[in-house]
Amino acid sequence: MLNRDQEVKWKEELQQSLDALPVPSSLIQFAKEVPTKYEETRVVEIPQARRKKRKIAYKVAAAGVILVATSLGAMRVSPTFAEFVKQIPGFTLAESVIEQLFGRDGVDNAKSHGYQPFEPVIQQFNDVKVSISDVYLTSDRLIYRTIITSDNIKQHIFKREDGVSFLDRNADSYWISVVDFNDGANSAESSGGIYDDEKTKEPFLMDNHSIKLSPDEVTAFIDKHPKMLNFQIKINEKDRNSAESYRMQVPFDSTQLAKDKLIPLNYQIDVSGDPDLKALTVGQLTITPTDTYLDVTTGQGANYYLRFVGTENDSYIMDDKGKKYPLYIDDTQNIYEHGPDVVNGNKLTFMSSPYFDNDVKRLTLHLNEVHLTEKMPGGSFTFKLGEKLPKTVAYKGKQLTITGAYYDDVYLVLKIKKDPSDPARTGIRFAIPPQLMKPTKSDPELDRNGGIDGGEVRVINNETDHYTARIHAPKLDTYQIEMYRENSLVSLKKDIVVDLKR
Amino acid sequence: MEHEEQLMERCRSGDKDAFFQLVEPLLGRAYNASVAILRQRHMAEDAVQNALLEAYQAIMTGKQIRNFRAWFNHLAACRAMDLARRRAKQVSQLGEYDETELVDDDDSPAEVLLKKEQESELLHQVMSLDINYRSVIILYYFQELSIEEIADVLQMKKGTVKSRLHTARIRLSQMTPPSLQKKVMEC
Repeated sequence: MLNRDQEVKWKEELQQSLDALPVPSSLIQFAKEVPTKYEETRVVEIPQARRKKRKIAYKVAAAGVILVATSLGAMRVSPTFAEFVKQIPGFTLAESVIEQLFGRDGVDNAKSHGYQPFEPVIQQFNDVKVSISDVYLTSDRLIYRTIITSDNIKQHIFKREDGVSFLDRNADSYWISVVDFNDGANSAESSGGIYDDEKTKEPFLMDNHSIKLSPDEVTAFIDKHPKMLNFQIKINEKDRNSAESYRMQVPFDSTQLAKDKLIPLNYQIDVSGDPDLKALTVGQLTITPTDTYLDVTTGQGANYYLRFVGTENDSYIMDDKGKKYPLYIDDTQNIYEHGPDVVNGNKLTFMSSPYFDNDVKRLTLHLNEVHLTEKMPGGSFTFKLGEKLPKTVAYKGKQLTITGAYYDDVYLVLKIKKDPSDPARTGIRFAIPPQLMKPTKSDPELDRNGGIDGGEVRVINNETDHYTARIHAPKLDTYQIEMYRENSLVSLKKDIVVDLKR
Repeated sequence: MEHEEQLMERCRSGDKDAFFQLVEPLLGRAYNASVAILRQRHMAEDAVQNALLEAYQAIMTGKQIRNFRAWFNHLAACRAMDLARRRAKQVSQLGEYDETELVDDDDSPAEVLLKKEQESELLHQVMSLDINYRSVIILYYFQELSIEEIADVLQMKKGTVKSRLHTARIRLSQMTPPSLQKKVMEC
């Protein structure tokens, strides 16, 4: 056992060791973009404090989507992508690096069919060289790739033993935005990293960007018959504590932009055996030169939202030539708005598209399963500390049995036996209503964690047949415990054939 | 602390650079603690991203945060453990979380992930602990959370935290290689 002095030294060494690890440039970039991302999804009316927390649940899921996309890409590298990367002006990539990159099959597919309405450009600003390429504008999205080299990148790069390169915390930071949309305050998702040029061996920063746009924004832009897409490059120079801003223009011919193919399906899928989800409607299929999108809606005013990505059997599209288009983005709509007029649904993005393949005559949508999460409590029960146990509570047709309860520190702890007839072990979130969460004089430490996760317990499937709910809450005689279904698996197993020639 | 409050106020008044200035000094420790807990850098990045979004929302909705650094460290640790639990659930739907060691998926193993410019035998030993003990060690010694805060993050009793910390120290002491023991003894 370590003595006190040893422990102090031990702590110092642990801190020094871990502090030496680099922070990924993608995380630094994400931190810079948080205000913009927040603005993008901000909702005007959030009637209850609880709703704010639900929004974060969505954000958690949204971030997960990016990871799914990245990992999918890492597994799927198109050979044509390798060829086209070599054509990016001013840069060459080693094959070994190319194999690590996110494939972006949709862009490869468009380029392999000669569809490249935007010209790649490269420009030098002092020692900073910036390339913008692979620009594609669809009816509601702009995607592009940027590559940057600079002396500062060379000075602040370091490579770990596993071969991954990072910029240190004192490196300059680069912000690239599109001026023509939303006054340059675009909300973009980006992914990328540091790579080495195969010929010059110089490191460069490469990012793939995707910006969501409204169809009206795109139409308004095209109606001006523009010949250039304008970008702003902002460089925050750490050493000099100053910022420089530059403009770049990407030439294009707006008359050459290919129109998306819109296929209204309006097909209802009936769901049996679920207490909440009775049906969902597959709306419009949109085939763009780079990706395929599908709108799915659920009942108006429904008290739940669905997630398609992240289940064990993700959904996908297969064409009649056997090519698979995996689902990689699930943008759930109106995730925390609630009310009779709120339309619920998902905008699904499948990787690549059959846009240019005239031999494809039909597609099959495989919708396998979804996760369902309630927006507002689907049920509640009251509980008195000291009341006789076991106590049975009904929820969504299942029987939950409280077998143990006590108050400890700042927690109400409940041991709840699950319904043995529920093979999916329905996920449940247990929560105390926000109005009961105010700290009292008798609970001075109730707010000691700054309100993080106060009043509710995230679902922990920590025992085979029990939930153990540790709810951060004041000590009360009687509690009202609310329940939400959370990430409950609902099986769809539905194949829908789409005839492209009709 | 006053500087933190000024930056939070600038965030609320619409200064988009202020948030990055506020969190930039904290990213390293939050990310590295998450890597050490999760042993997977993609998930660690995800955990910190979630904490960043939640922190920004808290600021913008006027939440009073007395010590942002401590609050953010606590928040990031909570989100790392959220992902650890979710992954444990995915690894074994029937397995008990407390007994389920998390596995690395497509990422490099911890030993490779956490190799850096200079090797640390101590870090290597910490990383070889299972998540129950590793997380307590990381949160206590690296994130410098209190026993109460760790109990909140791990959703367990303070006594359990103390017990795990005690056991983790013993295990580390037992497996500390002779070279490090000598180094410690010389201090």
